[in-house]
Amino acid sequence: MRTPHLEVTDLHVSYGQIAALRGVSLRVERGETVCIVGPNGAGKSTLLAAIAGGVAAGQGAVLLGGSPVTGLAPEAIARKGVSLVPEGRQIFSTLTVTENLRLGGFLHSNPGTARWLLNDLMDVFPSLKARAGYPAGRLSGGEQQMLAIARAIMTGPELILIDEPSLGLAPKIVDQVYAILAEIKARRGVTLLINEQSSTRILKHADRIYVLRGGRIQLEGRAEELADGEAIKRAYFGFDREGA
Amino acid sequence: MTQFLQTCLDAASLGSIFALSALGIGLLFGILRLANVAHGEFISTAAYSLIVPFTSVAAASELFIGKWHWALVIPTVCAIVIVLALATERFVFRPLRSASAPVLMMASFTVSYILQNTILMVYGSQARGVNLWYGLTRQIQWEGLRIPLIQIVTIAVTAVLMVSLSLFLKYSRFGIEVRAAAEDFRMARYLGVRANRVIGIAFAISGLLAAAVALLYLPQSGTINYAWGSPLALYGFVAVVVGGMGSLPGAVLGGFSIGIAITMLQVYLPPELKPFRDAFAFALVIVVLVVRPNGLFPTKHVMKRV
Repeated sequence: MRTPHLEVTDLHVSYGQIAALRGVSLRVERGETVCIVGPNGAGKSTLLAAIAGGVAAGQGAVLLGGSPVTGLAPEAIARKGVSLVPEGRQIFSTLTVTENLRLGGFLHSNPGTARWLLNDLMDVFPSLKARAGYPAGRLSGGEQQMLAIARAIMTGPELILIDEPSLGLAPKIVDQVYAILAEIKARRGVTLLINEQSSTRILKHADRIYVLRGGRIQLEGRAEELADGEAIKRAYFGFDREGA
Repeated sequence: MTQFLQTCLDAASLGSIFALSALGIGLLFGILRLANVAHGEFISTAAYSLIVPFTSVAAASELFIGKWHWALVIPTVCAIVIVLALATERFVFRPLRSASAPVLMMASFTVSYILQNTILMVYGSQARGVNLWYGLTRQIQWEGLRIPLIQIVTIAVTAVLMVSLSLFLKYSRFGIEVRAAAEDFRMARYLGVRANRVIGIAFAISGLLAAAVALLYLPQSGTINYAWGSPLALYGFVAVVVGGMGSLPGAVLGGFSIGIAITMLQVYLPPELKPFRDAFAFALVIVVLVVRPNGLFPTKHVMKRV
């Protein structure tokens, strides 16, 4: 069996007395698009933050290309080719669009790489190019989401973690966001791990789906197997348990 | 008119000192949410490093580093305070990195007390006269104004420091990292910004600014004691709050506002009320905070559109 790009084994995370993740295991192959679906409070954001080094795991391991990164600082994990686009975008609103992007490129030892990426991204995101000198806080919600994605790409990642990219955006804008993600994937061959609350849209874009609820993986499957949505619905709402 | 211009000059010079102190405090607050009470001891340490330790009290203390050429004094004193600031970061604030703001503040109180008591042990409790750069106290006569040279130097050095600091923050790589960290430290780290380096740079700048405050204020004050830096840091704190927490331009403007308020009160209060000048100054601060709770110059809050 090939070494997966990302492997999470029996991950536990707690905030004080409250357990957010209670033994999550998952694998993501190189070049795959995997989606984690689950209701509010299922632990989706915690899972991505734990992979990116932002919250400490109480137990379990995160492996990148087979080597453990559990316990490393976020800036160290970023240097191993993992980039997080967090929930709510978290763009730096007082920094300009260009400064937001440049910040993502500082970790490259060769400044030429960052410059090349910046120019390339300005072509992919013409709306950002048009507002390069604006404070990022003045962008629209959709533009801020694009900026957060572009900024993540500036770090030159092999694995991009995206937390609820459609949160608070109009359906038309969400389509644009997913079109951009598809284009980036086609151009750079990155691995994507995406959190979403709703599975309807994600079934089109994902190769595989995990359903997370109550800090545990409830269901795992290929997108085409789950296409009718019934199994996902049962796992998502927990009918499975009560019915069985 | 001459009297008024003279007062303005005094206000600008005192305001410069407070603004530099506020910048050093505001920078750390912006990034770490650390209200660094020990900033006053950074300033005191800079002043005490100029005189010979372990000597008996004389009317005027024997200078140690202070008798060197000024081109050597400035970098040496800056280096001493920067090392001190970095050491407090490394040994106190780094282990407490994930602690809450009140815990950080208590820690900075303990650092402050330890440093103050170290100064007491090494230099004693009596006030010490320090004649640093006596030539700077000379006054220039111009159009009826008597301008102490040190005031001109203070205002000029402050202007140069502020312009360089804002250029550094605006255009350098570290400047962008520091500003991003001040806005959202965790997100900056997700993008590869090294926490230890950014915080180290901020502490070093804070130390540099404390050294500048000490070197500029010492020729005017002439006497130091173990708590000499504390009021300067206190006014710096007040300036940060009055200016609007977390905004560096606000800290600078807050510093100048306080300098102006205190100087004007000193000149225009009736003589019998002058001893209570600071009480009036702080009453003004309270009025400002009641009227504008976010400070005089709050950070323009850029709405996050959803």
